[in-house]
Amino acid sequence: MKCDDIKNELYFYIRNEIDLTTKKEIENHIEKCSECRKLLNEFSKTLNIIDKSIIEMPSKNWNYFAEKTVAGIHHRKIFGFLKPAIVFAVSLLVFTISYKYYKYRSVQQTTSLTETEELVSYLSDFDIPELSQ
Amino acid sequence: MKVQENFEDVIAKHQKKIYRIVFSFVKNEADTDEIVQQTFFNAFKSYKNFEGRSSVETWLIRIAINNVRTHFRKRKFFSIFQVFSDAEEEIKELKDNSRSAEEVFKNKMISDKVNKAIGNLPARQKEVFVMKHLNGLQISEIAGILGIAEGSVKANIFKAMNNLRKLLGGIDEM
Ligand SMILES: [Zn+2]
Repeated sequence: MKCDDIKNELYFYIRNEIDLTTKKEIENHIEKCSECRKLLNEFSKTLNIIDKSIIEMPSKNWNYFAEKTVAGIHHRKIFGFLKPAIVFAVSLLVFTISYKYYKYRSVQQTTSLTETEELVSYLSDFDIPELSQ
Repeated sequence: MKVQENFEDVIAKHQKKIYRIVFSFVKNEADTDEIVQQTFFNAFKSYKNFEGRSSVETWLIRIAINNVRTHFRKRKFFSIFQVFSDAEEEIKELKDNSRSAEEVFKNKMISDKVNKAIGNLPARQKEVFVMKHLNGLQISEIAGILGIAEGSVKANIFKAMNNLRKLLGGIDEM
């Protein structure tokens, strides 16, 4: 085996996940090749560091989790269908409100004065007897 | 519903392995819960179309890996908002431990560095390494899941190891 082939096997050599023949081949190569030997050393160190900082999987109540998953499927079936509809309805509502508000504001700004004037002028005066005295 | 009954068996049989794989990528219980449940929902929707080109397990792992990829894409997008919750979690973790503060801090630094190094590997190297080293999947299984040759799996393990060696070189063995 060439260096490149040896290098691809180093991880499996360290983990003892190779057959005896390959193992022997690697050991023979390592004896002669300082580059691969150095790499083997550094790979073992690296794996030691990694193995020390592995985060353990949280322990779970698997029956309960399975129930939650099944419930989640039903939930997603319903809400997966409703979600686009809800999003559409909400955005429609927001659009309508902001559009109305915009219209209201622009109407108010340009015509509020004249409208009031018109309204006031349209009304007939109150009859106030004291004043006519 | 007949499919539903069958599917509950599928969940019971495979959930632990799927959970372990997802957790080894995202390292956070709440996110893992969500991704695993999403995975079974995706699987449920298309279970009747499952053609058996691979084992159910391989098929589920592929769906899970896709969801992990989506999760990281989303997280990258929202990463600006993540800073505060990460800091909070760190403080909580430190309080949880009764060991000496110095030791806790040192271990935390190392495991952060390790997780960051694995997390920053190129995508393919990360997937191959996490599945092999953190989940103990067989080379043939990984090749099947990712749809690549076994030789390519081994080559990616080497590349990942070589990158991790460089990234973690400064850490002394304890
Ligand atoms: Zn060599």
